[in-house]
Amino acid sequence: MSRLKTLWIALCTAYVTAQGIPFPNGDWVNQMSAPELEITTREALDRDHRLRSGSQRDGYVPKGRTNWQANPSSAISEILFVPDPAGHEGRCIVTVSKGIWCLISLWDIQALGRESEATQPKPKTIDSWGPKGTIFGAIAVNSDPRSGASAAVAVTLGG
Amino acid sequence: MQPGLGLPSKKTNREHLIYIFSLFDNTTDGYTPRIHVLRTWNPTLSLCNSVSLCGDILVVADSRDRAAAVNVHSPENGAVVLESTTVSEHPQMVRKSRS
Repeated sequence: MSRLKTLWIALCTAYVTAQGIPFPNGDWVNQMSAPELEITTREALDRDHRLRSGSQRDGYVPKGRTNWQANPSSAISEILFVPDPAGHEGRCIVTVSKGIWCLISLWDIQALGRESEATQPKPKTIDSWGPKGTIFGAIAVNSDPRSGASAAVAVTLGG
Repeated sequence: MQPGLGLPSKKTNREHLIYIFSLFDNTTDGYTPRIHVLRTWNPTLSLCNSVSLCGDILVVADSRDRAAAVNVHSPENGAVVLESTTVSEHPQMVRKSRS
């Protein structure tokens, strides 16, 4: 019975995607075989368990942890890590807020993880972009840092 | 109320565009993070609910199951527009379109 793909789709929907646990999008689920879906579902649950556990032995211990207010008026709807062309890992992130005024912000998180949690520096905002009267759709960051086009966003003007 | 005396009708003129960014300036000091709009592209679709960027290829899709792919450095050269929910199974539906 555990070979049935419908069973793993139901389990994955109930225990992974409905719980907000990161998982490849719906198209990938359709393309996966039942064993692939089982492995991916188990890995997603295991990763979530390790992220939440905080245990030094079997959990993922965060490199750095800090709280900051990224946007005082709108909730952050997306956070994207930006691959750095110079090869620096985790140098920048992009946040997207979709309130009355949509805004993309670029943050420097380079200093995170270098200090103790009590003295952890706040990320610095580098630049923001969001023309008035625009509505943002989907956004993507280029997985290839060598490309001059780092990101793309779908925008409705006059919305 | 006579026609034309109410609230003025608001004619919406929405335009759906894709903004393509560079997030780093290549300076003498190395790569400096900065948001810079490289170009805009009108894929002639509705508001795109899916955007993918891999290398120089940008693929977008809208809620009407239409997708378009373009080279980010030369979007004016035209896009391949695909219309299908399962594009890969229906290659005969692929058509060329000048955007």
